[in-house]
Amino acid sequence: VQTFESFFRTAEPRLRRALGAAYGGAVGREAAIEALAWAWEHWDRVCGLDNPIGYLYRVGQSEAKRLRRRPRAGPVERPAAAHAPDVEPGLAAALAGLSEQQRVIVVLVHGFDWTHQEVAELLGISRSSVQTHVERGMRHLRSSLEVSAGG
Amino acid sequence: VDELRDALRTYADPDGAPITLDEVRARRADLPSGLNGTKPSRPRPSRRMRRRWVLGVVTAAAAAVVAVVVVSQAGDSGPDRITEQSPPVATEPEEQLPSTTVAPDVTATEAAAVGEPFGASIDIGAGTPLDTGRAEHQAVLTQLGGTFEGTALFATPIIADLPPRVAIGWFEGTVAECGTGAVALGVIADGAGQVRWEVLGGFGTRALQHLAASGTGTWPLGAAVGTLGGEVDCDGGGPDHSLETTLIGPPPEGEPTPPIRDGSDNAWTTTKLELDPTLFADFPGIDFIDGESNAFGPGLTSAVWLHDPDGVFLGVYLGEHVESATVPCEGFSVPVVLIQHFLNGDYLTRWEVQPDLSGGLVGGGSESAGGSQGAMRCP
Repeated sequence: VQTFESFFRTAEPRLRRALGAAYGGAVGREAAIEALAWAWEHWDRVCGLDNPIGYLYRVGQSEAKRLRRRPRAGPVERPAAAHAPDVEPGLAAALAGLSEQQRVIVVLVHGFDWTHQEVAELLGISRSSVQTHVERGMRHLRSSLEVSAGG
Repeated sequence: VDELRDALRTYADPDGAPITLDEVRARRADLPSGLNGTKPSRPRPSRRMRRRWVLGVVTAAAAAVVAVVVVSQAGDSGPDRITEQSPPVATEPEEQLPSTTVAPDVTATEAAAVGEPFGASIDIGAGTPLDTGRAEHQAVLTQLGGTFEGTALFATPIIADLPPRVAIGWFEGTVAECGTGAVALGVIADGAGQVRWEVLGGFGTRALQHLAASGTGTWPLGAAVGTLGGEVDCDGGGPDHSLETTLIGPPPEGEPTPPIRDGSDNAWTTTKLELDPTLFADFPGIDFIDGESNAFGPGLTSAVWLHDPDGVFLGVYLGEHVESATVPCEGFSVPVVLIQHFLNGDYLTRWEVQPDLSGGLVGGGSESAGGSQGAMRCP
């Protein structure tokens, strides 16, 4: 029987990155922590799931949406701009122009080298849909950033 | 590529710092064993709390019973929504069977009158023969304040002979070899008198192989508003094929009643064909979110069915080729859209578009035959 600790080692980076892709680094991280805490609390149930990471991703989505409804005490964080001034300045806005699912897929595939199958399992969609989103998302990004496919 | 990867990583995970187990456990520090590394369990509620919970459940159950009674009584006396929006339904459908004859020429006005009994209006233009020999008709259906426009190519003339309640009919037609793109327009109603507009067609090559094997095919379908006739330009090269169908009325005696595609059952489905979501890449107004990879050929007819949350029919969008169809997602608050594609009269795929909490039109999909999954979103 898998222990929570061993599951955690696998799930933590995946959830953190996937939720970060969806909601930005800060909210995504918070959502990932909460999802993992939920898994810890309900480990008996989670360890029996076919796709626990996909399930927890949805738990994290709920948490992220709840977090985003909270009034913010401080300024809105813009991860890309705040932490990496050398990053293409328009990227965050361009990514924000994608649908959440497209954004997650593009970031995970092109940023973290996830396979289409891995992304499909996380999101509970087909590989072909992942392919479609990647193509459309990248086309949208190129268009937003006014770069050509070649470059 | 490396720059993009770095930028995307920075966006999603700016620090790259892993979450620790302690951070996670600290979130449940209020639990009894929350910090000792074992699976925590919540404290057993006190006797007083349990009593309160039971009382709450009993109260809620009683309220639910009262609500059901009130609603059922209201339903008995108040107007039913579907009834209110649907046309008068004949008590004896047999008396309302469509004519077995087909008007050879129908004006746009007459065609428009077709839909009126159902609360919808359909305006089928008289048709302007194009230089390819095609006649183009504009189909505009309006209901409940929403106007949905689409252009479909029909061979002239479109017939219109529709009783207030459409009965089940059969088509019998002779189909010549045809390439792609010919379409027929049909209308069906479900058993409750609720109207279902439907585009029938996709008389692509495969369909014609099916129908033209004997030269004449009998095509069971819900009674049709129209038939096709005349010359059809199937391949853009001019009026080179003919397609004629005639509504012959209800099923012949002794024949089984054709199934009606009523949104829940599709007895015609014989083959699972899967749709290629990439074909929606340039589908204006539609953002393909999910779906199985499929393949379908050219010449498909598409129709978008619009229903309100109660399933009341609102309208339909007609499009000949899914690649060029435009779905008017904006400007109406229809939470459920069904999109159906017919390849050869015996197959459909349906997407259901449902609202998400933010008010957009998104949703999971279904395929009535248990096949592909799909979802669409109107951005």
